[in-house]
Amino acid sequence: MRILCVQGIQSSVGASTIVANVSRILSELDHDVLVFDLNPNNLQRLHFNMEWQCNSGWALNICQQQSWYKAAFQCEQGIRFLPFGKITYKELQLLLSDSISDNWLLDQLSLLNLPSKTWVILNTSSELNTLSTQALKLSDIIIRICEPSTNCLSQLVDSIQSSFINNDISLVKKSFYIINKLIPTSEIDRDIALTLKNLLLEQMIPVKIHFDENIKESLAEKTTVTSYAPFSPAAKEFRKLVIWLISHFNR
Amino acid sequence: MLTKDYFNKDTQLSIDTKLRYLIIQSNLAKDWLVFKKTVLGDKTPLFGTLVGIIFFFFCHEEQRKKSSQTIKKYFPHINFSESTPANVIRFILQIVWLSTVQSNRTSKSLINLDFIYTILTFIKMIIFFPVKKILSPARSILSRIETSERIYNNKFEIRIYLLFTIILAAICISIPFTLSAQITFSLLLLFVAVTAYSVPGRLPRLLLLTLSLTISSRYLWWRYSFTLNIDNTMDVVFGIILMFAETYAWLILVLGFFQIIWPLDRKPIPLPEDTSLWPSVDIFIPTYNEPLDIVKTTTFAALDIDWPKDKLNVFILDDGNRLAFKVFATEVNAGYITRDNNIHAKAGNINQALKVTTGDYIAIFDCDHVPVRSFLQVTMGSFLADQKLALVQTPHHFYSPDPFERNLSNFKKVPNENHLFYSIVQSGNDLWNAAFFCGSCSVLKRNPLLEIGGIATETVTEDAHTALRLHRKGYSSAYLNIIQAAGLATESLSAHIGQRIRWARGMAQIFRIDNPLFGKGLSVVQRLCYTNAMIHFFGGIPRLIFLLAPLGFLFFHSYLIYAPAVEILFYAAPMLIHANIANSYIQGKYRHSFWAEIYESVLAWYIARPTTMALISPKTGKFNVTVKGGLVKSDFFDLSISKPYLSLITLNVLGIVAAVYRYFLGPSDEQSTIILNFVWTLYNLILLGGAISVAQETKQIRMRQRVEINTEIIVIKQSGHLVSATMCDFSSSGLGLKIDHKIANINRNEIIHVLIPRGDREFIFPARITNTNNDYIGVVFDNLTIQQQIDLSECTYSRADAWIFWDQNFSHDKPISSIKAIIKVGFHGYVILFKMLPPYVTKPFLLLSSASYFIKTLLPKNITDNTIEYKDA
Repeated sequence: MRILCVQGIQSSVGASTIVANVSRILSELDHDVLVFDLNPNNLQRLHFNMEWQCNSGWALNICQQQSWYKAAFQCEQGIRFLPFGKITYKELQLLLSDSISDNWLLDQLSLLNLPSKTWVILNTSSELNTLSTQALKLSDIIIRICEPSTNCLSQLVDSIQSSFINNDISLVKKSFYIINKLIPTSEIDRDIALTLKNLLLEQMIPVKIHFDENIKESLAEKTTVTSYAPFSPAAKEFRKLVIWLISHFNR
Repeated sequence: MLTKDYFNKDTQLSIDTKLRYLIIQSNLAKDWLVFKKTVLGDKTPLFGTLVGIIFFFFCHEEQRKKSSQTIKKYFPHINFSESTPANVIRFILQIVWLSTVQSNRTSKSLINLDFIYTILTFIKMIIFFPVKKILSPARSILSRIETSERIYNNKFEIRIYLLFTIILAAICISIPFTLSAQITFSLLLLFVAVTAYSVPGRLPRLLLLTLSLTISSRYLWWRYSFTLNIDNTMDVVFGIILMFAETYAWLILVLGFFQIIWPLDRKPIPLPEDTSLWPSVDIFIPTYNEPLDIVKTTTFAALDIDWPKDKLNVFILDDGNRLAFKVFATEVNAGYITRDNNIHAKAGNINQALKVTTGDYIAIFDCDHVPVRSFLQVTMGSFLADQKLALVQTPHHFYSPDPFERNLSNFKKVPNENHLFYSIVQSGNDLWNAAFFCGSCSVLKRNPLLEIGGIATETVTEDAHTALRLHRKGYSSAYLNIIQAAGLATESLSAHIGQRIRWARGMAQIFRIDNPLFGKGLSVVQRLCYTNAMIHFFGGIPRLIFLLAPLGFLFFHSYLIYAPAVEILFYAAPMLIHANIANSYIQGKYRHSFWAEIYESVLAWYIARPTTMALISPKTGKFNVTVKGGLVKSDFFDLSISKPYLSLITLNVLGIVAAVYRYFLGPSDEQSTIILNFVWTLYNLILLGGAISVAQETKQIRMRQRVEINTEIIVIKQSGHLVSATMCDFSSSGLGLKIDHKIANINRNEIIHVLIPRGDREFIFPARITNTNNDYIGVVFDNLTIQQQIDLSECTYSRADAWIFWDQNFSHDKPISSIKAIIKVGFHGYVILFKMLPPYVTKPFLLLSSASYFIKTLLPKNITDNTIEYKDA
């Protein structure tokens, strides 16, 4: 199992988009992929063409005292997908405090009868909670997503200075950064991107994902940009990211 | 426990996605579409589709995937996307051919050429068996000696070897042989040369040079001692003239070998980490009458050179005193220097600038030579390492074809004259500390330059003269063979010849007024290198003598070489062969055999007079500036340039007539000599035909030459959609892009942005689509700001790796195919001449030739490779 944790530096920097596209490309390359949505905003499902009204998900199942894994889907491309499910704030608090024990994620993943060498992609919320800290610790690699904006830069600097959670050096070592939503015509975006690169050096993944209408349109079509506009620069950039990932694991 | 089965609930798909999957899953339809696309393109012609359907659906299932390759293999000459009657005929003929002759051939029938081929191979094997047996051990010995190094500490030992060598050489050169002995001798040496040719390394190089020297010296010795017929006055006069030309050729050969014996492949020296130790540099861009557009590109690139900004000053040296240039210079924050006269042209211009600037070093770029960003990083290290160094020169590289390359259409296929000089000759000079200044793309140290009184103004080639003076003062020079700037070649043949005339005159002037053989301060080898560079330009007259020499015998019965034809053959031929082997070995990738003969033949007439004039009176003659950046609007034949060649051709054709006449009607004992001179004349005619080919000017339509490149970029549409594209070519005004047009949905006149990545950075340029042609779109930049123009230069011309892979397309020289190419070029020249005859003469011939060409396309083609693999299908 290769566990990949995708986390935005802050919310709405495009983590679920990256998860969807990376999983799609990996499965196109005949890899087994499980996408596990750990983000309470429950948006990952939109990239996998789920109905707007469909609320089902593993968290909802747990709240309703059902087997959580019955919320699992398999897309026609072969991607296995576990949506979070729509739950209320109260239910979420309850879930995090009562149902999720310290090693919950590890236990559940090992319970799943997944083929060996499956890529487990965890869509992790940018806020720290029991789920996201577990995901960060459990993963083999953390992809942290930055937007070339001033707040993102500031959050990033803070998080580096505190070495993210509890000064855990092992997390710092396995986390890599990627720039998403780089608006090509914006000078400030390009400048911040360069600053980020100079700040993060080797920890920066050498792929930038540019802001592209195609990405927005593909989400409106409830699919990934790699299938919506396979020849767009965004699709190429996601493919480069996947190649980087695979070579990182082969290293 | 969760099992795999739980994952089988399908997510819902939209209708069109489902439909698409239905179609795609149907393999047959998919394969057919692929087949149709590869064989027919986007069209649906009747005939092609019919053949395609039959071919595709009658294929076995396993072979279907490869059927498009199969059909292309069996019908290589048929374009199925066009339903012309000719294609139908081709198809039927090919079917008949394949089912009768071709199929029979594989099953060994009467028309089996393989048998004859086998016999020929067998005979060849028998002949070459002993040669091969000796060849491989000889090779291994050579390569073994190469690896074993020996250091001679004892000077006495070396002297003994030297003495021995000289005695041996004297014997080899001067001992008279009978004809059979001469044949044996030259064959033996030839065998050694052929062996050495295939072994890479220094030793084979030296061996080949020695052999060639020996044989050519022997030839010259033989010429001087035995072949002058002193009984006949005309023979003596013509013979001495030819001997003069031959002696010159021999001298050039010897000096040339000496010059390139051991090219010093100098590497850049890194600069210190601390940038405060880096010296200040002034960049001079001298201009006189060139358009501002050209100077702009160079200035932007110069401003962008990677060097501490407070230590880099760019100056435009405008000798044309133009207001627009002054305005531009202020706009981009570059210096502007002008003067109220034009005395001493470029040299005077630079000297004037020297007075008002202060930088420690001076980099000079002709206004069309665009430097790359790394120029100073690469060159300056050498200066800091060696205080005596006064000059670093880098190659002049041209990204546009020179007239030879354009008119012979061999740009980027055959290396040009320039390439040889900057790859081998300058590197060779560098070993002897004699690499000289070439006027541009170089850095000079200010103090030594001031010490010799600035750039030399006495001659029209101020660059070489300046270097000579620096060397005389004991300063050294360096040559770095890394392309760090690129420029425009001259456009027209007349301008090109004009430039060479200037060089030739300037070199002759230096030879006359500041002869490198005499005077103070130079080492012996430096003197020889400079001498070679100068007398190289005196080649005009000897070349003309060679072009006319056989006529002396054919017209006037004069025995220029008073010896039997066979003897001439066995003295001269080995000399030519050895010289070519040695040159091909050393110059290999940088100059292809025989092409130089054409270049020299074209220039011969034009440099003969100015060099002679300059030798007699070095002060006369005016300075002409090399014109660059113009257009050749349409194809035309430069008649005025080719007049001398036309008269030479006429003489040689008459020579051919005389030879045929004398062969059949003259005395029979002269026949062998006639054949020899006939072949010589024929060779001269090929060279002259080549000269005619060059004079046929091919049009050049773009004002700014586009440079080929292959980089991924992104096009940003105004809608916010991004389109990935490949940049295929660039100029300072626009780009050529490749895009899948159907996906991109890009229209003419659309306003876009272009994003070009360079390293970690990305640059954005506003642009407009000017033309769309299938997947190729042309883009022109719109209103770039100054900073954007600098950035653009950084992404295009002045990328540090812009010219690194330039010469990878050049293959190593293959003398035989070079001969073929030369003959083709020569023949082409006569076709050009023929076409200029009145139409009533040429029309029937042209019709005949196009008809025969058409019929040739109808004929069935042989399929050489009958095996088609179906393994992967």
